[in-house]
Amino acid sequence: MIAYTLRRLLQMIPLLFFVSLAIYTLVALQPGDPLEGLIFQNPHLTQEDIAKLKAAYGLDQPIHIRYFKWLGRALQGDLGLSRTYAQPAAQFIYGRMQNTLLLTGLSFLLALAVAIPVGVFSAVRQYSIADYVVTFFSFVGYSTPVFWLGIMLMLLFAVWLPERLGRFEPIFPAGGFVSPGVSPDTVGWWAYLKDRAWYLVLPVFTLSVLSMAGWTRFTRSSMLEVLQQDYIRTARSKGLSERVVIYKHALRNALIPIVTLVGLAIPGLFSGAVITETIFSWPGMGRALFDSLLEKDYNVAMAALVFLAFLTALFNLLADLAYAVVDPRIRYN
Amino acid sequence: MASNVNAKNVERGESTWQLAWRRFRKHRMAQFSMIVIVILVAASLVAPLLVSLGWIPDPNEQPSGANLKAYYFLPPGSEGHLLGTDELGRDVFSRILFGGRISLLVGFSVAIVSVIIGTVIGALAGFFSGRPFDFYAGPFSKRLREMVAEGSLAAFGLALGLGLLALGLLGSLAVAGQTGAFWIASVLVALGVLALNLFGVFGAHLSRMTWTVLSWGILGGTAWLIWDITRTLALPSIGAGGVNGALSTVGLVAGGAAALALLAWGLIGQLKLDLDIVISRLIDFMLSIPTLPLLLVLSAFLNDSRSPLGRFAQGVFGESASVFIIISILIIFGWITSARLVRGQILSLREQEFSMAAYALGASEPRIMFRHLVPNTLAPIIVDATLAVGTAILVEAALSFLGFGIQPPVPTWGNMLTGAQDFIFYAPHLAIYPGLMILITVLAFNYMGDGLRDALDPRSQL
Repeated sequence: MIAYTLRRLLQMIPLLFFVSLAIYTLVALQPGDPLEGLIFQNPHLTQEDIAKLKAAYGLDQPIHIRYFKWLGRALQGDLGLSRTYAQPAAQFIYGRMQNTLLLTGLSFLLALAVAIPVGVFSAVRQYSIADYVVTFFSFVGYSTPVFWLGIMLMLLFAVWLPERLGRFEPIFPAGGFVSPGVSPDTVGWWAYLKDRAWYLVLPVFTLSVLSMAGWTRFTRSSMLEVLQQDYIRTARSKGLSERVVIYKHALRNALIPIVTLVGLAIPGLFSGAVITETIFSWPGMGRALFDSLLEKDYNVAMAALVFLAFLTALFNLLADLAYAVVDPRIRYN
Repeated sequence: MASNVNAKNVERGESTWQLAWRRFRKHRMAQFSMIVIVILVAASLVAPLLVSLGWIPDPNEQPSGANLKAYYFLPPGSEGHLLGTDELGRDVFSRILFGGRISLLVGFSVAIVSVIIGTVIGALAGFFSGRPFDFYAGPFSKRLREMVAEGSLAAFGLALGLGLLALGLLGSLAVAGQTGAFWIASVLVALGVLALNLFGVFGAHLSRMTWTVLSWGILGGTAWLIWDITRTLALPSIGAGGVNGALSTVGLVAGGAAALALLAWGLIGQLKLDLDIVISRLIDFMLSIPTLPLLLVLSAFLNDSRSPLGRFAQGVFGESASVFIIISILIIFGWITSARLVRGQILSLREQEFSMAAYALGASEPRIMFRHLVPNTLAPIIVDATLAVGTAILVEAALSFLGFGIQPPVPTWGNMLTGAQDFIFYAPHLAIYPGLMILITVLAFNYMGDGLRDALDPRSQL
């Protein structure tokens, strides 16, 4: 097991090298360079000035040289400066990551808390009306475009319902993450937290619907498969109560594939949700990545993407290891 | 119970597909979904006809004359506009119909091409797992084996180098946007092959190789020409989409993939690598790149006329270039799911008795793979393809919504929603209907996939 883990960790090195090379090439190959806007805004710049600027940013060199320079600095822990935000890229990403983890973490927990009980319930009562309702809604949840769902919720809670109820304030705000002027110092901690939670409701729900629906279906089918096994019949024939059969014998086995699925979803928590963040103007990682790519802020884009690639590889490994822990039949060598 | 079922089927003389159809009919939602899909396809097909009959306005027609503002943001049910008009006074219903054409075009072509590519790659990886890849077929391979035996790697290197040179020429000429370039490049490739023959690279297979290359060149050239004529005649009148669009995309992507596959095939065979390991590493690699940002970068790169590929796409497809760019990008990521699926299936199938029996009867490896093993994976492949249609439609919509997918003025359900968020206070219908269409379409494909899964699974009960 330790040898296997070490080997997988070592394999991550060439993987990350190629991933970072591919990402760098793609980002750098994009048409136009980062100085374009600057040059456009200032007609007084001469060709000489532009050449000087390019040299200062290292843009006059070919892509592979720039990549290895970036790699050399990154290996020493220097991820460079963000050009658009005028602060170290690492610091900027760290700040955005906190916002994002709040949003994605909450929706991850919400999805799990709903999906597993509902999936188990629906499997235990297979072919009942409740099962059909759950199945229908999980299909709908799985087929809804996230961006449309966000806009519809906004329409419902920020436009229609307030209109019907004749109130000026939206029931849940249509975007942002804290009311203007609200901070722990001005209104106290409790009111501050309440305000933040008020802004979180719609984005968290929007973001959780897809994984909620997917995991419900997955839990249901995994449970159904386990419930057909011989050891469940044995457990029932021993006279165990239905509760013990389902929660102790069936659920624990049904959770094995779910562990993998959920483990693989964790890197996504860090990458943020470009679409949800865009709709609800949430200053998170997804948006940061999106903007840095648009504005050709290479250092931010590279730091974020390579960090995410590292997390994906790491959680792939952890999911495999967790699989071996929860299912002793699996051995790696 | 299973034996009873079988006995009944034997009595009736029911084929597998009849049985599957009977099971499918039990799944009411799946049947209903199939009707929905048929209606959607029919509506997309007749949309241009409805415009020429004057029953619905043109999707890109903007009002003209005095008092323009009276035509903007008309609510649903206004005279002549079933679902109202948008911020430029264009008819929303008509745009939704035309958007459906694009969505279905993207969904179907991405699903079909990526499932075919994924199946072939997955089958090869699974079948040759655990040993060096040596899938050689045709005249070229025997000579290659001999060359390996002789140690004349240099000859192979030369062939590869000259081949790449020819490909490069083809690429650079094609970027210039000239149809004639294809002919020049074909001649160059043929000359290259002849030149290599002089070096004796192909040995005794001189005449056969030359003929093969030349006949493929002529076939390809004719196909290109036919397509070029259809494109210039048909594309302006039907906008993006349409049969020629789908065909040419499929052709271009398949051609590119085939060229890459040939190159990889030669290299992997030459280096005696295990194809399964190569493919698994490639999949690991592709899965470790965060998908959405990569999609964004790729489509920004390809949609920009300043990049060579973008210039090429716009030269060939004109206004609707982004449709084909998105289709290609989605295929680049789409094959992974089906490749993994098929690989897993083949890995277990190749150990079963019927495959041993085929070996014992002396069947060749390609025959065992494509006649005995792959048909057994057909059920999950069909289900996967159905679900892939829905996924492709969703991803296209998301990309277009963010402004990186299909570019206006070509209407799609995704890009119709891009501006809609700004107008939800006074024109909510702009946001509601396109999204509703995406939901209905994707839901229909997902239910249909579910019904097919039940119908095609031999373990499912009647």
